[in-house]
Amino acid sequence: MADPFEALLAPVAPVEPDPAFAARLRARIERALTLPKGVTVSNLTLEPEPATSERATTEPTASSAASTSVEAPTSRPLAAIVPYLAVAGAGRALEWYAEALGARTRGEPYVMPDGSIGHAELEIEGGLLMLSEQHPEIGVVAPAPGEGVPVTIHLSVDDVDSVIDRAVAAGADLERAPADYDYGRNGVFRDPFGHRWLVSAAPADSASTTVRHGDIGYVSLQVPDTGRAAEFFSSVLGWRYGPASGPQGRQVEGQSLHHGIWGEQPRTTLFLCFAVADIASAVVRVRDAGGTAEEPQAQPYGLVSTCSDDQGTAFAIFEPPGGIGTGGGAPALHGTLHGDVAYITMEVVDSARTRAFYGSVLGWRFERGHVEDGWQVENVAPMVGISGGHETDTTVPMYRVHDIEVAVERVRARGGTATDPEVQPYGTTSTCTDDQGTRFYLGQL
Amino acid sequence: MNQSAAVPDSPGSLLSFYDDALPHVFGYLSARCGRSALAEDLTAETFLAAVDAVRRESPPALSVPWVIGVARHKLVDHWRRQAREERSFRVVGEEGPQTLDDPWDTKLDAIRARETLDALSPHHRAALTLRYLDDLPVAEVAALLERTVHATEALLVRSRAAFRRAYCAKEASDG
Repeated sequence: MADPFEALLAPVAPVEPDPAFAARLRARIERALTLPKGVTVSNLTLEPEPATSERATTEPTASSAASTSVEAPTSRPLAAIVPYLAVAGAGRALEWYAEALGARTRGEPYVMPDGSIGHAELEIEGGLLMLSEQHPEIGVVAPAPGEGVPVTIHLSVDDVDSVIDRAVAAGADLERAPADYDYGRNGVFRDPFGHRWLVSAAPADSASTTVRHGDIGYVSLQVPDTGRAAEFFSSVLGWRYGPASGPQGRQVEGQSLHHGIWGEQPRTTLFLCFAVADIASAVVRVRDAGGTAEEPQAQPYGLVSTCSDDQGTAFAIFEPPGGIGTGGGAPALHGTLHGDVAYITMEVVDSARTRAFYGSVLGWRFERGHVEDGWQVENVAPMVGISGGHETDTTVPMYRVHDIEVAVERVRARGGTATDPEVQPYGTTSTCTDDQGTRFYLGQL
Repeated sequence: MNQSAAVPDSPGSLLSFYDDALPHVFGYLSARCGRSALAEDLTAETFLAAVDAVRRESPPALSVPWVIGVARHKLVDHWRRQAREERSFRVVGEEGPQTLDDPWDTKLDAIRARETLDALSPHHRAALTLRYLDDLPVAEVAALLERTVHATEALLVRSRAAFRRAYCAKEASDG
């Protein structure tokens, strides 16, 4: 008698997908191929978030950002001013900037009825550039190759020589070869469309990246018992703490991201504090978007406003002293040290509302993730994912560990729970709770 | 930024491979996970993983069987996530009384079989799909599911039993 299950055999039969999907994916692959090697593209999206224990629903409590001490987080230039290039042959220019400068198209270029590019946005080395076809009839004129230009585009990079070599190999004219100056190394080229680029690297000792608008500058674990949480995470993650100013709050020291613990909270979550370029206008945006924002208070680490979003989740925004762009290190995308925050998942009831709110307040943009109603926030450090469809809003951190087996054992030994480590595309992870039920993930990345 | 590291390896070759392989990958996935939005998501994951693969030090030779293998891993990952969401993944080993794997003399109706598979729990569905739709030997199924061969054989017995129960119930209710 034949095994009836053999009838299930399904050899691979080609099926054409929706052409629009095929085109979108092709464009995505094309863009991904322009990223530097070493950037893993397949995990640049929200990874699955296993559901763990459900928690009693209580009203989110206004948490005290003001009790925390963020030390002068710092920033990179905010794109309040963005060069907008007029180009003769903007379609070819998009290709050339991708090839020669590794530009990545942001959003879909707007194509005019006549096929010309009406508007396109490019990200180059983390900076933004806009361009369109020239329109001499309204005085928007591309430079004529070989003639002068009134504006030079200044591009900050780590390796001036390789960027200029690549541009020249792709057809740029070298105007001034790279050389060292007191303020760093730089060189100048003209691209084939006549635009002039000054490519520059800061001297080796200065930090090249700083906190950006929309980045997270501070986080705080909200827990019932501060002392217990402090002991637990000290044991599992090796956290050290600054001198306690009171029983309710502790500051973690020595990690890459400013991190606190704030106690006497009925439900556990991770409180987030976002860097903004201008606190006054950010407060207005929070209120316009249906949230609440207290009047900004001056703190040693900047101007801070305690807010809640339009679904009642508490957060804070701060403007660093001296503003965005005043030096210092940016938060790492996935942390760097043992015990650092590697990833943040905002589990929310209604992801459309969350995206609309934070998109409007912080300028966040989103890319669809792997899981249903999962969204990756673009260009934010540390990396943030939003996952919709949950019963309550809970923000869950992933902490980076050197050895996940050891960390999992410690979690269990300290009275927490941890799933057996599982291999994910981006590392090995475990889903955990501490001995008070605070959810977190561990990741050996 | 290092120049050699920033220049992608023959992007054209991956893009033309994409054009050729896309219907195969989408065909493989849509025959196994039905919902076309899901098949699209997994197709995208598969090709983005291929982008990573060709950018590594020793890139694989691009071929349809290779990329189907990638797609299969993405499918297994999907079921693993789904199982975890349904919180059933870790209790597989402890489920119900052992079912006898007695012979079943029937001829499966393709549509009903498809619907039955869709309704099974993710781990049963994963096991049956890999073993029967993909026709993989038990050892390969075990490797994909990260289980021992013994545990996989036991899982297959339970999966067949679950399929048979669901199929027969469906047969009865469909008339």
